[in-house]
Amino acid sequence: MSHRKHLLDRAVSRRTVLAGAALGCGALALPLRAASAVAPRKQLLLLFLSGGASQFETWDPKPATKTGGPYRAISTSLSGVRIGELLPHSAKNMHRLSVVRSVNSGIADHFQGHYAMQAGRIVPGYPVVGSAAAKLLERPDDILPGYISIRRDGPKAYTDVGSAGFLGAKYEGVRILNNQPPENLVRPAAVAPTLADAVDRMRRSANDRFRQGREPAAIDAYGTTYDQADALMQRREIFDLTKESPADHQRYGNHDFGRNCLLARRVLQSGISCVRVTHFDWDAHQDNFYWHQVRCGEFDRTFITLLDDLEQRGMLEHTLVVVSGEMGRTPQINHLGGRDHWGRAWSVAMAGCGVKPGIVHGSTNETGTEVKDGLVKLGDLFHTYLTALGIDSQAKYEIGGQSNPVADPAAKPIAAVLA
Amino acid sequence: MTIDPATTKLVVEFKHDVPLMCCAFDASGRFLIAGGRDTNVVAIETASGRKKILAGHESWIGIATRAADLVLTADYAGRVVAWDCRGEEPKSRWTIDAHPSTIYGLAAAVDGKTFATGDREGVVRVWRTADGKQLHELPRIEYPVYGVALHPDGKRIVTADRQPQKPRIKVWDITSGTERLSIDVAELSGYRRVEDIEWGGIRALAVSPDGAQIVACGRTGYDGQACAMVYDAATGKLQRKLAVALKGGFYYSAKFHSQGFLVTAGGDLGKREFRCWKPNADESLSNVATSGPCLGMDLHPSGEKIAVAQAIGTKTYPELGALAVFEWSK
Repeated sequence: MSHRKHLLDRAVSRRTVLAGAALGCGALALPLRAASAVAPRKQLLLLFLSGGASQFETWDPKPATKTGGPYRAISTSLSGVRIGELLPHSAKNMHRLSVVRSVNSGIADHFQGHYAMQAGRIVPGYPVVGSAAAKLLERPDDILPGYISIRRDGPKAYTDVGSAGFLGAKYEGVRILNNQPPENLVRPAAVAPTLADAVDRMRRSANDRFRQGREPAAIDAYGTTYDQADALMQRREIFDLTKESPADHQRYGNHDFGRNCLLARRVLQSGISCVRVTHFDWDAHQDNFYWHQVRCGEFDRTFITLLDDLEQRGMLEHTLVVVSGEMGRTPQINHLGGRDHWGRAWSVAMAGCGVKPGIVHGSTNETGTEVKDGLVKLGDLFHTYLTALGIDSQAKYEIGGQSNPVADPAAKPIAAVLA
Repeated sequence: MTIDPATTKLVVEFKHDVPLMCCAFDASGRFLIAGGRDTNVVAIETASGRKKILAGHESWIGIATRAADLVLTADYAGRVVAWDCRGEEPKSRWTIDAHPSTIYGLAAAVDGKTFATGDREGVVRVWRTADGKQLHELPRIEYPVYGVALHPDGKRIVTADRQPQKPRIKVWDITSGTERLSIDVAELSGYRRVEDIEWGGIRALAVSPDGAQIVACGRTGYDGQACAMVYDAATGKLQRKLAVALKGGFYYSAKFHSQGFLVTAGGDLGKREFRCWKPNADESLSNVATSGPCLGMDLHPSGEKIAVAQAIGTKTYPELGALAVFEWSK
């Protein structure tokens, strides 16, 4: 992308926001999105490696060191760059990726990490990037929810940490479990369309009466939920994976993550702004090397298949793909052959819209215990994601009379990574 | 020479600067060859304590076995090195890149003329010991193969895999690659849907000298007991479940002593041991606590000693290893 085009795409400067409501009806004075009405919508795909993938077994191998583990580093399509042998497909596609090896989030806790790595802050209450993208990339005629979160069942308690915060219910994200559409998307046969319409009119009328003289935020939030549900009912085929060919199912892999990513592609094709696929569990406190063999095996081919498909469909140029977890894993290997929680020096990968392909930013020391150069904080990543999506990360939300920076003002985008 | 498995004494313990995962005596019993969490093989002349570090591997060395006049070591990069121990010090006789990935399973035939390997991709191969030439390959198993054993009849090979929820023992015809028997060992599964990972699985295999029994060892469930399961090799029927209160720990290895009793070794940071069993009785004959969890074990060719390879350390992250040699009373 040329520098000029990049500037054009980043159409939004610091803006003020029209008076809004505490529960999320705050509106930006001008929509924070690409200026051109004909430009394709920018989209965000977050592949969240929940539990914390090991940087040593993935993006930042340290072979033949005390911390490096047993796996080899392999050559990649980027001259002089090697990654872990468990990611052979990613290795062949490193020229398309932008990898940050110098993340110091300072967090070694699942709950904190899930929130902070998605919200770009440690302070609670802020919207996660999925909700923020849904809000900031919104278009006036959008009827579908802007944020869809996809995962398999059986989560750990920390899996769903993070929310829309003060942006409110509209941007909370619709959760899809096991690729099943949200419940009750099909109108019961006993309810005739005319009856459903009548009930809906009555609901709207009641809302309008109740709204008079009252703060409208809560009512509007309920209304939004109804509208989004109705839109999903109309578009429920988005969640129908049977519409994908057996060949595509096979390409994505016969496992939860593969199916989730195939669904993510469908959701992105429907025009929804942000999709998060949670891949878990990576929390390898024991048997870390077998565990990563399994998880990387699921992730690697599926990730590249998804990138290929987005590119073939012309979607990658306006879709930012982020691969991150809540933390990395310890350089030390414990008595169970596991690696534990680690936030001091680890890696995040990106691809697609707004980031330079074929970049490895930052580095860690010989044993991976510390960031050596190009230090990146979690707030910097959040700024980078928004900037890559053409959003001014210095902008502010003005909601309920309160002004809140969209991203942590103490952090900044990673210039070296941005296209 | 008959030994008493109930009476054991520590002969010597050799410390090492990385955790050790495997060990094997050479055919004369003079050398003890070990490997662990680095690329170096440790060769110790047990009588003198003289230690020699041998290069030749590309990754961690997870498993070792005696094969005729050689000791074989296999690593996480798929390499097997054959160590000739007949001279002043062990020397590499041949090296093969046997698999493209981690070798978890390695075992030699009773006569030592052939050996088998199993890798993390489910590939099982049989080789000629003399020169490392591949002789056979089994149809690919879908899951990592953590144990292999060559049956004493010379015609069959036994494999153990890590299929989630149902780890399996399989008996194959070596030459044709035909599967003869499959045994589900669900008792050693530690699969939990919440993590969607197999925490347990079969960690090692042993076949009795008469070929009548197959032993699979590991742990009963996600947070269960160290355990060895004894099966009838002909029918696949479970004969006995040998479990002990090593909660959370695994039995990482099992071997039959020439006198017929079974030895298991394993543990965790808190409790670690090797233990002798009569395969037809629930109660063990003896157990011996060790400095660290026994990740590997071998019996001396004379049957009078046992060596265990351990990871040791005072904290959660063991950074050292130890090789301990124990002797049974005669």
